[in-house]
Amino acid sequence: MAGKEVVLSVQDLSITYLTRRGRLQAVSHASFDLHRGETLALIGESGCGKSTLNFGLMRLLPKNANTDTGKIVYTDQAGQKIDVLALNTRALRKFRWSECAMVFQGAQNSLNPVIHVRDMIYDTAKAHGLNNRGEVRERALELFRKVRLDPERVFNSYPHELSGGMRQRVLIALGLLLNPQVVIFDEPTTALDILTQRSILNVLRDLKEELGFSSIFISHDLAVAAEIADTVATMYAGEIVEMGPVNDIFYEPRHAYTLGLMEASPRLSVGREELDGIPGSPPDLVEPPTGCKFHIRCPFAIETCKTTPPPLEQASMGHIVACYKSSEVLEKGKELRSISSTARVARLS
Amino acid sequence: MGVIPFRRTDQPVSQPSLWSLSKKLLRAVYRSYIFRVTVQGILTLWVVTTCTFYMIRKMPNNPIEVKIDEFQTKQNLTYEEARSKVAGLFDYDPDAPFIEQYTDYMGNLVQGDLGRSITTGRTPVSQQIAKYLPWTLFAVGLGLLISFVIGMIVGAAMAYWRGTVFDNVMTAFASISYGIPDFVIAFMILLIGGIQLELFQVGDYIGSVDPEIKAGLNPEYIRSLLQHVLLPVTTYVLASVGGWMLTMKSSTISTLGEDYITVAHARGLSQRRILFGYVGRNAMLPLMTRLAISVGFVLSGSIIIEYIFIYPGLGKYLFEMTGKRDYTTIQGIFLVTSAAVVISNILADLLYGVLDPRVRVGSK
Amino acid sequence: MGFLIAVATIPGLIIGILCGLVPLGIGLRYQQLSWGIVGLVLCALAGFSFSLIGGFILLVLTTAVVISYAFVDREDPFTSRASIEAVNFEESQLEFLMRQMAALGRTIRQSVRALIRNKAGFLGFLGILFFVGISVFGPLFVEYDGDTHVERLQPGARTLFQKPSSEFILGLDWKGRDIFSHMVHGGQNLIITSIEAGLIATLVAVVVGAMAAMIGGVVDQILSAIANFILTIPQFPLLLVLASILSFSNRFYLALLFAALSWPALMRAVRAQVLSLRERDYVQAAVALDLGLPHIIIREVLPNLMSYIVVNMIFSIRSAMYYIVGLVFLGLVPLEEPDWGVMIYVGRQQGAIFNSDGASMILSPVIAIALFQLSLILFTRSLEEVFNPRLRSGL
Ligand SMILES: Nc1ncnc2c1ncn2[C@@H]1O[C@H](COP(=O)(O)OP(=O)(O)OP(=O)(O)O)[C@@H](O)[C@H]1O
Ligand code: SF4
Ligand SMILES: [Mg+2]
Repeated sequence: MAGKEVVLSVQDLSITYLTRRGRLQAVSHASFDLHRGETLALIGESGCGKSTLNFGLMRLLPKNANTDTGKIVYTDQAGQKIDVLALNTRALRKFRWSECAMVFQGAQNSLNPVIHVRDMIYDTAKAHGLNNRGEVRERALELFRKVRLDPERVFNSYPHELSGGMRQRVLIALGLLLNPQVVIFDEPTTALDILTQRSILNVLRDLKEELGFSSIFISHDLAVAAEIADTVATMYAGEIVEMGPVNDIFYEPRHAYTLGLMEASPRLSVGREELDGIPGSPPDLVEPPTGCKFHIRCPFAIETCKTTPPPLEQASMGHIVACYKSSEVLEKGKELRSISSTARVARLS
Repeated sequence: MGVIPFRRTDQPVSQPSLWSLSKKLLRAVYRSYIFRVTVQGILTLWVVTTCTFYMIRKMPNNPIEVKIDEFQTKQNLTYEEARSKVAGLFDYDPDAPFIEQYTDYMGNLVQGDLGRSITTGRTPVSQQIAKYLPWTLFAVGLGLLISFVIGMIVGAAMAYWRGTVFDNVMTAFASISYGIPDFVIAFMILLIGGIQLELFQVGDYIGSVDPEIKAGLNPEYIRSLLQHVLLPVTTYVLASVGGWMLTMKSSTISTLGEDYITVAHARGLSQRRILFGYVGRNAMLPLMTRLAISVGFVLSGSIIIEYIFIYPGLGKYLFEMTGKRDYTTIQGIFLVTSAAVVISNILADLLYGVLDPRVRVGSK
Repeated sequence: MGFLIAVATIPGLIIGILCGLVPLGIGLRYQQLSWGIVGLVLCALAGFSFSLIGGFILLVLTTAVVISYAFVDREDPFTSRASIEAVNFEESQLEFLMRQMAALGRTIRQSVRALIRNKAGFLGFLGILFFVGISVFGPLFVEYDGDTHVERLQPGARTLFQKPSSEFILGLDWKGRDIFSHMVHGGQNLIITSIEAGLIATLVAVVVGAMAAMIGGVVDQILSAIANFILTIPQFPLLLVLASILSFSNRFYLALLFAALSWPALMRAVRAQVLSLRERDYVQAAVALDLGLPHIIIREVLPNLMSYIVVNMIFSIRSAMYYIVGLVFLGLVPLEEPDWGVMIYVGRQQGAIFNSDGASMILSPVIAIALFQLSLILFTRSLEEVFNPRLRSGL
């Protein structure tokens, strides 16, 4: 991916929520670059701050959230650099959706129940200065066709008349309406059944090839991420703990948490009789642990892990990781993989 | 909703016997929403009429006795004297059998005749109601309109700026408004505003209009009209606006938390479009039912407020007629007010169907 | 005859003290003396004001709290993490009772904490306590002034009305009587009738609503039809007519009448809630186990509706008070002095509205009623926290 133009560059982004119990550090010091046409998958347990990070990118955070540090620089279609955090209300409104769109977690409630799908399309277009309804309609129908919907019918429906999968597709089409450079997909398939998931993934892959947008793809499901991503970033307790090309992350994970995720995922550890989930539960983000935030649950942890947070270091080309024992983790991963393949062989014979 | 699924005429119907066709038609009509609620409404009104008919006549004393009492005390007559005087006044026979009275009344009612008032010189009840109803409609209707609109706007603003000083002050105000009964507010206005602080001359503000001004569309008359309705309306608004504010606030808060609002922001929609088309419309839905119910109860109004401010509305009139035992008038007022409730409930259903597409499809 | 008695009586005090001996004794036995004494005092107070009912209720509540402190560290197989072998399952009846009481006590302590946490709600609670306290204990200290006092006529004045002064802090009414004494003595009847009315209305609504939903079918249809029917007739006019039919010799009948007219709204809500609860797993399970309708309603369904019901009961009490005062004010209920509502009615009849000397006769009860109703409303906020476990745990 290197060498390609960077569309979105995030540096040192930290976001906290003010809660009754105190400040909740939902994202801490996240940095990454998104290249043109590339898909970045964000994976991590529920509550690790994936949605928060992405809401932060579009400045859609609720009122009790605060972006403490960081810089979000976006390069628009004309090559101009935009400092998203410095945009005023007007410019921000223009930036949203026309440059960066988002398909939300839980599509069931993402559409206004009391107005027609077409009105949501027209609203969106009008907000960005496209007043020619005929053109907008043509574009929408074409997108609906691309996401494999019955265009005319859906266009004139109310949201409650559509099934969950259809609504998700409507939302995807709506997201692509203004031809944005970056589209964020926040667990677009979570609430759907397997078959619908599959067809939506296919749609997404085709669309990406055809339209060439860059995307950030949030998922719990490693198999899904592996299928669609170019780069994968693992998040734990608000931090990006490992990031690298998809094959590196899946075949040579260097962070204990990433390895744990692989082990916990059913489809990538074929043949193992039992799943080793990661023992313990995610840490409290109001009072996070010192040192490496994973040390309480980490089987590799050493004394230093408890006191000093590991720095993010370059492990190989484009692969960065924050773990003191990354080489041991790498070894262990290889060992486990060979075990699981021999187990598979043993089972087959 | 009210669509009757007629069979397409060009379809060949096997053995189109008249009987089976009409049976189908009947079933279709019965299934139609309008038909069903109309029948239900008429049934309800019939039961209301019958119950009140019975109850009213069970009240101790009858119109004649009340009048005799009045003559006895006021003009110092003996019972016999008073009785002979009253006998000529009223066209009502207290000794007629109940059933006969009932069938007579119902017979008239079916023809749309509410009967004649017993105690006020045989004027038709409908005419009496027509005389008092506009005042109630004006005062309570205006009050409801104002408090609903204020409640909507302030409630939504409270939700939007929740946690701020504005919200806290308004919530406190709303709780007080909600917590204090209307007659308390009426007395406070009269006693503290009018008598203690002498902010206004109480006499100028109670009653309906200044009797010296000629009725009509002249500015003085309208001024007087508004001046006299001011206190009842203020009382009504102060007593009910808190409820609207609190409901609207909680409804708006839950709407603001919905995903589609965040998505609307993400789509870059203008603040105004989001506020009206997305937040407002959805937040108002649950309030429409309540509004319809309140509209239904406008006619029965607020007897106590009308009584305190000597406002000649239907409520105060009903109270007076109850004292005089004017059976037919009481009956008529009950019928009209209940009918208002029934009709507004039906309208509420229809309106809800228009505002919320989800209901439209699901309705039977 | 009302079922609530609220007068400070000496026998009541004795009953209260006797009741209070129980928590005190248990407190002594388990070295929880201070809580025992608190229990004794509370029981005595409750007995003093509400006689046997109050004394007994407080006896149970305070004893539970004392026991909860004594038993707080005991191993409970359901709450402790002790392994199953370490727990002794053979417990005597007494031990079982103790454990239940301790659980009740813990709930009470949590509730009290929730009650205090919501400032507005606590203010409402204090307001209610204040009015109830005045009505119950006030008569002990303030003598009722029921006779006409012509001798109090001020030189130059045309009526016996008097503005508040240092001697009569709320002034004098049209007969020259001390308004303050009327305020102290006149709230009791109103408050008690309203509470009775609210309680009965709620009880009827809950029972009918739950039955309609659980039994369903024709029963449901009939009950719902009745409820809808009552809801169609405007309430206050109906009350007006009914009140003149049944000229009340006793306020308790007024409470009954109110209850008869006001159950439908809550009943419909309870019915809807029960219908939706019925679909939940644990209720389905209970139905499948054939545990019997009363059991299912009382053990599985009601606890989930508690917050809703209690808050509605408060609203019921509030509107009962509104209707009662309204009827009194319109002169439709026999006038019995002393009574706040009667003060408003008579004051208006005697021209207190247009006489600035007499304003106090109407303003005092009006403000008292306003404050009492406001306290009720505020109190519901606390109740919501107490009965809604999700709010209680502070999430
Ligand atoms: N509005 C909010 N106020 C306070 N805390 C919040 C808020 N929204 C999220 N959080 C907290 O921030 C943390 C991160 O939440 P976030 O929704 O970003 O997680 P996520 O990774 O998207 O989880 P999931 O996979 O379940 O969607 C969580 O601990 C959550 O409790
Ligand atoms: S830094 Fe230490 S605790 Fe953290 S993942 Fe690596 S080994 Fe485990
Ligand atoms: Mg999320």
